[in-house]
Amino acid sequence: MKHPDEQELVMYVLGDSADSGSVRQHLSDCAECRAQESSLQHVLEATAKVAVPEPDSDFEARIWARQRDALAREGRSSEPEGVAMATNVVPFWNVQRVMSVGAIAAMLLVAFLAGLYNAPPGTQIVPEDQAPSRDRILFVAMGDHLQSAKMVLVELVNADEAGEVDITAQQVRAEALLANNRLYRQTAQLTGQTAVADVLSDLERVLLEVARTSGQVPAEELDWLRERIAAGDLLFKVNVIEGQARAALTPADGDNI
Amino acid sequence: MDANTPALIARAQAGEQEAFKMLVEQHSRSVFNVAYRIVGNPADAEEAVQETFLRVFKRLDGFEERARFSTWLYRVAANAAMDVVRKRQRHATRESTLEDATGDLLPFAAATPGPERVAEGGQITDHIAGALDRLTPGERAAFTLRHLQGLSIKEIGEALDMQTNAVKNAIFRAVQKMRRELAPFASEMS
Repeated sequence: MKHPDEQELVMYVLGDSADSGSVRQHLSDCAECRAQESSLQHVLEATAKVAVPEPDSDFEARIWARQRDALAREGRSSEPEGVAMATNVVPFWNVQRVMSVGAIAAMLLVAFLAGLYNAPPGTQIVPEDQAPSRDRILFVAMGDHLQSAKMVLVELVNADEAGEVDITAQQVRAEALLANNRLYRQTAQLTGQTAVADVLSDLERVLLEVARTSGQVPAEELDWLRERIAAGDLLFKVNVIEGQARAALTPADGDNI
Repeated sequence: MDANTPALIARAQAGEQEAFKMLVEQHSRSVFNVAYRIVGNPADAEEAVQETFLRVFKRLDGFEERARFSTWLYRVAANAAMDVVRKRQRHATRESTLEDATGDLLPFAAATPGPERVAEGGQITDHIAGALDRLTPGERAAFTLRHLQGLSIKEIGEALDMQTNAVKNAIFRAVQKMRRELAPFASEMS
């Protein structure tokens, strides 16, 4: 083997040579290259010796305190925006097509909660002291829906962006999720859970965009969808609500759902 | 990876803030270590740590169990640290432009230490730190992740959104520059 060039030698020293056997063999025969290798080793060893200062004992507490503040601000960012929903333009055939068992269950939930919240005086179905349980009904019902919606978002965010991307699977699922999402949003509004309703509104807009997209999209269009998802930290907010939904599956003491 | 980490990740993904707090506490020093090696000073490193965990929290859903959490965390940290360096450089450029315009030159430290400073300092580590400072953010991050954090070329490429050859070139340029800058101290290092 001829003398390895400097880049080859650097890669060899770092353990990334494509032909380390040949380089090793050459080094055993060539004093000049061994000197080069030794010089490189010294530089790398010296670099590794640069001390990193040890943070003070309050470091973790300080980092967490600022994280907690930032997360609290994130929570406030889900305040109502008052933006008109665009979902009214979903074609009727789409709604019919996705009228699944889940959709029927969601409609029953809306009817049930509407009954609870609009019951005439004196006909209260759920006692006032069990009001938290009524709110939990929505969370419990939304669990699977949110998980499915989150999967669509995660897959879009992580999709390979080389050339044209096939998002047919996500498009079909987004379409199927739209009707249920609208029912859950309406239910959240009805029951006064405005923060949840706002996140579902944001989710609905993105699902609608995905559902309207043709199956094969250029990388630029996928980037645009990703920007829509990232714009309001949608994934983060959906995850928070999904966490609440999972927590609601574990009944608290005294709750009878 | 700490044995508790997968469970903490799962709980944090479920929205449990206490679990995320424990992840922050467990990993913030190692993230500081990575960040410091890229940004070169404690204040910027701490800023990068903050930014890293904010990004981690927002992207925790995208983390897949089969990936190594520490590798994923270092990727996020490297990007956050590079962003801090870029921000600092933009700020320095603005200040420099302003000074050029007004002719009011402040006593900035020379980019390369002169012989007097070398003689005064006498510490190789100072010169290594100075040499690292003069690498581009990409070179420094690629070099740090490969040589000091042990990430593979492929992992670095994914972390920094670079092609494999670009990663290799960045590492090579970094080593080449370091070697050139430290040549006067070759005898002391051997």
